[in-house]
Amino acid sequence: MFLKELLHYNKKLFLCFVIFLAFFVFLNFKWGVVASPVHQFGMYSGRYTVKDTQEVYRIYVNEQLIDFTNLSLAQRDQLQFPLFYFERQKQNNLAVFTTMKRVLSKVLIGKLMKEEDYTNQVSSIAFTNWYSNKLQQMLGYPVTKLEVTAQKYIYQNNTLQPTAEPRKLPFIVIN
Amino acid sequence: MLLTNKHKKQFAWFYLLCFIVNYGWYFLNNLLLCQVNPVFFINKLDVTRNIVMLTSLQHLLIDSYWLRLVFDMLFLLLPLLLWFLVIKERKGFKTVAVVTSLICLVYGIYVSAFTHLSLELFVAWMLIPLVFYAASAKGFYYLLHCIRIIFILIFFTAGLWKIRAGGIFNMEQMSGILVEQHSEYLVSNSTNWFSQFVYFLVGHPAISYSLYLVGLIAELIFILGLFTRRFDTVLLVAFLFFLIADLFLMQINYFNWLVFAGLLYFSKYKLKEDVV
Repeated sequence: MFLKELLHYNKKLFLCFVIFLAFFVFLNFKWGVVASPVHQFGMYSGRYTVKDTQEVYRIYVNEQLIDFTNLSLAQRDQLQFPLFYFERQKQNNLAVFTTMKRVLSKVLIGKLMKEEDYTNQVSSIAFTNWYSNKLQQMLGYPVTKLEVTAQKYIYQNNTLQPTAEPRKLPFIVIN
Repeated sequence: MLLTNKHKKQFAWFYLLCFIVNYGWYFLNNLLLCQVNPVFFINKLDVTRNIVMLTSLQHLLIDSYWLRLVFDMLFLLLPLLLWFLVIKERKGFKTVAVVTSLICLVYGIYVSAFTHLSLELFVAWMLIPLVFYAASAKGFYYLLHCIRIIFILIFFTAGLWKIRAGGIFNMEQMSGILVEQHSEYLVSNSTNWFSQFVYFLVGHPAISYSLYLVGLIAELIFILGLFTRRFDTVLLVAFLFFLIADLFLMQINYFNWLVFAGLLYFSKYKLKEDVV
């Protein structure tokens, strides 16, 4: 058995390995907080249905809708994720800070955590400038007007259909 | 065949090749820290990440281009240095192996805080350098197999999660995932061949569910690797299938993990003491 051979070869390595395995099993069993490099690889394991509502970002540059199908995989992700993350960063970072402070307080590290280290100071204007620079770099022409909407869609009649009016993202501020 | 230092060097070459290709991919897609030029970060429920963030490095990285460049250079140069020390059998490889692993962890934490890339992608760059900590063929053998078992557990538990969270018991699962994963793409253009292909799968849940089931089986068979190395070639094929299928169908690039393939390839070599 490999573990027995490992113990015979090097006791320190055996101990490190066994602790790592125990930690891996514990974090996966517990479900929730992880500790890199130990993660829970549970992507797409929860239930999904075709009737789940999808919120889709639509980006209008100089009044022209950006066609995601003309962009590479990485470019698409680089346009969609910042919008998704920026919309949630304030709430998300505060919630994570609160939870992690509680968790790390159990090992006396929590008191070292300061809220200002775990929150962003970025303004909507700074984000818009950064985002339009990304767009400019990707598209190869200047962005003079930028508007981003989020719209809810649902799958019906073998296609995604809008179910609500588009919502203009308030933190995008170029006109 | 017996495992020798020659195999350790071959693995070092494979590691270097995979790393250079991945670093090139980051560079071409403007995903290095100094190219991202971040203005905000997103935090996640990760103990290690939150301990590293005690340093406030996230704010320093946002403010300083030069610091971002230093991190990009460390992320590039340490694996190159590690490869050089292993190939030339020079001193210092143990320290460099550990430092490379730690820097890749910190780099991954911040890249995943500033971009869409997930920290899980960087796990390979954190773990594989530790294989080169070994000074002898025997040490290489044991470290290789320790990391191999961790890699096998990653895949096997991914399969278990699909059972535990209930995804596998839902016939609509893969159709639902495809709609979610490609919603922006489908809305942008519903008539091109890929959109039509996705819509076909979404509209035929039995077919799409079969793909999900095949994925689950490919993950669960990794449990064989915990008991024997005899099927490592099968696991290697399942792993490559996972990488290609994820890229094509899900449009997720998991090729950061390709370097893990070396674990399944070199596992066939034995120690002199006939340990297998």
